[in-house]
This record gives sequence, C-alpha cells and structure tokens, in this order.
Amino acid sequence: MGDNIGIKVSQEGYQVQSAPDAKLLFNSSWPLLKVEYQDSYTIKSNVDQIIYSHNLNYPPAFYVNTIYSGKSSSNPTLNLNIGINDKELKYFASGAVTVPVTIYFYIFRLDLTKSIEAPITNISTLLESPTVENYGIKVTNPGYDVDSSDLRNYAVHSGTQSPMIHSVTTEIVKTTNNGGQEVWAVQANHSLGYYPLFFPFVMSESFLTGYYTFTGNYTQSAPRVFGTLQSTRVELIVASQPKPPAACLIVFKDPHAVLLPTEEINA
Amino acid sequence: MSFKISLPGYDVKEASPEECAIDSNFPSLKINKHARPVHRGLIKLNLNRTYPVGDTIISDIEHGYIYTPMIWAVIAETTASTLNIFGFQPYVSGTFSLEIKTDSVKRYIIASVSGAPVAPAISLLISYALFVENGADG
Repeated sequence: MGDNIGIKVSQEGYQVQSAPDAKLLFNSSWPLLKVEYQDSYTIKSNVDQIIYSHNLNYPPAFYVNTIYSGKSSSNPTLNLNIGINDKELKYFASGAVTVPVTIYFYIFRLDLTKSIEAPITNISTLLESPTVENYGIKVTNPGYDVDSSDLRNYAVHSGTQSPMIHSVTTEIVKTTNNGGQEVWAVQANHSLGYYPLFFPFVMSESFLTGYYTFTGNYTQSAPRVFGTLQSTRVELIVASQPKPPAACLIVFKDPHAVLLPTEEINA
Repeated sequence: MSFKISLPGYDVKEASPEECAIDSNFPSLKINKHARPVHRGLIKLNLNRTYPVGDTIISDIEHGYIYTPMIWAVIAETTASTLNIFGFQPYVSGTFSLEIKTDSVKRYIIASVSGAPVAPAISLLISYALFVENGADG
C-alpha cells in the first residue's frame, strides 16, 4: 500500500485551494470516468449479437449513443436491449427496435460490481472567478503531441472538465415506494448538498439475464426503474420485480443544476 | 510513455487503471470550458404553444466541432409537485417527447408529437453536457 499523498488540479478560473469539488479537473482521491474503448457499430438485423468483446473480466460501466437520421442521442428503448457482462457488450433482439440502427458506444474502466465512495473535500458554491490566472496541465493520449489542437487527443486537459466519480453503490435493499409498495432499491446517500448526476445500471432476473443494462432513469418497460434525485440521496428503485441479481448506481461529483450557466427558452 | 496518478492506498507503480484517478492510456471524457455558447449548462425551457405532429426543432446552436459530439442531457419537469424525478432523455408525456441531439454541426432541442397536435404547457429544466468526444463516427 502506498502513502496517501495526493494531487488536485482545478478547472480554469478557479483557485485550487478554494474550488469546490465539482469545479476541479481532478483530485487523486477519486477516479475520473476513464475510456477503455469507443467505437461505432451497426445493428443490421434483429438477432442477438455481440457488439464488442472487452474481456475485462468484470462488467464495466458503458454508455451508448444512438444515431437516427444523422443525429446522436441516448435512446432508452435501445438502451433496454443492450447489456454488458464481464466479457461483452451485447444487443438482444427486440421488436421495439427498428433496424438497421447505428450506435456509438463507450466502455469505461469502472467495475459495476465494486462499491467505492470518494471523500468530500469542498462543497462550497464558489462562483466562477475569471480573474484567477490560468495555470494548467495537459496530458496527451499515447502517440499525440502536447500541442495538438484536438481536445480528443488528451487524457486530461485543464481547459476542460471531466465527469468525476463520487460513489459507486451496488448494495440492493428492500424499501417502500411512494405508494407504500415494497420494492428493491439501490440507495446512494451523499452529503454533496446538491442533486448530482448519476448513471443507473440494473441486472434483471428475467430480462437480458446476466447482463447489466443502462436503464435510463425512468422506464415503463421491464426492468421498470425509477431514478430519483434528492439533495442527500440518489435512489434507483426497481419496481414490480423480484430482487434483481445485481444493480449499480454511479453518482458523479457533477451537479445537475448548481454552478451552471443558465439559458431560458420560451417556445 | 504514460502518466498516471493512483487513488489513495495504491502504489502508482503497480496500480491498475481502475485503481488510478488518472491514467493517460485511458482518456477521460472532456467538456471544453472555452466553448461558447457553453457546453455544460442549464436550459429552462418553457413550452407554451401547440406543437404539430412530427418533429419540431425548438432550438439549435452550432457547437463548433466538425464531427458529431456526444451529449448527455438530464431533464426535469419543474412544474411537477416534486422536483425529484429526473431522467436521462428523452422527456416523455403522453404523445409528446423532447430530446436533445447532436449532429456534426449543431446541438438541437427537438419536440416530437404523435397522433394529434399537443399543447404541453410545461416548464422543463435541461442539464446538458456536450463532450469533446464523439457521439458518432467522424
């Protein structure tokens, strides 16, 4: 075991000594969401098929973008039919999915079976301070020059911000929903003081058996899942189901709303 | 050569990528802080008109990349009695849905209606992150 000596770098515009956690570029006390692999894949026919064999020997976090008519976004219907286990990312044929469809997916170096919790070092709501001189760091991906103007070529760059992981929770508990029904849930209690962003994953007993799905935060289809955000708890409820074999809730340091520039649109 | 910083309790010389805060062999997702309009922000969207059947582009902005970047968007309904249910997009209410999408030029907010025109009369809070990384090939 090594000594606990750490390093942190703030985002541009912030003094590292006073920056809240959400305005750091990184802190060695918690991990960034690290990309293992990314690629596109076209589901050409509606049959079960392996999208990618990662062979990490654990089920990693993943994210899928769906491209329809040249536009990319997250698609809950397709997400419910793509699962991951300790070997592969796989599409499971579904009549709800129109094929062919192209996806662009990310596999992350984060184990969905291992709980972690990062410390909170500063949750002040310091506003951006452009008067701070901008010193920074940049680290390129292997094979790229540090003068590259393409930010994709950097592992970290202090002219950017990256999702920082606050916690990974895997314990499933029995609780009651708003209607008083017994349900299964993953509850991530936190003291962040704001609503954080999160990734919900569920392994259902009867649906894509043995594979985790990125469930979205609210789905009507099986596995029926409700994700709720509170200032002290993120909860992923798996309703009307037997106890799921596994689930995972990744909570980010990144807030849903606070500290963000806001635009208003009337339409 | 590579650069890595291990998490507390791990020896950086032996730490796996999972045991590191940063490992330059595995890039992190990134949002450009210099981009304007901003690439990480909130949109308060007040819907107060009737939307026809089909797709309606409510808003579009040029993101400045020459490829399709990945976007995350989490949408909350601010007019609900509670503000504690959020969803990765799309927002769906009956035959009305709202999505945030990207292509190689713009970020879009798109309303979709099926069946018959809808006047949703709601306010939504969209928290979005437009990443440097790809959301499609290119």
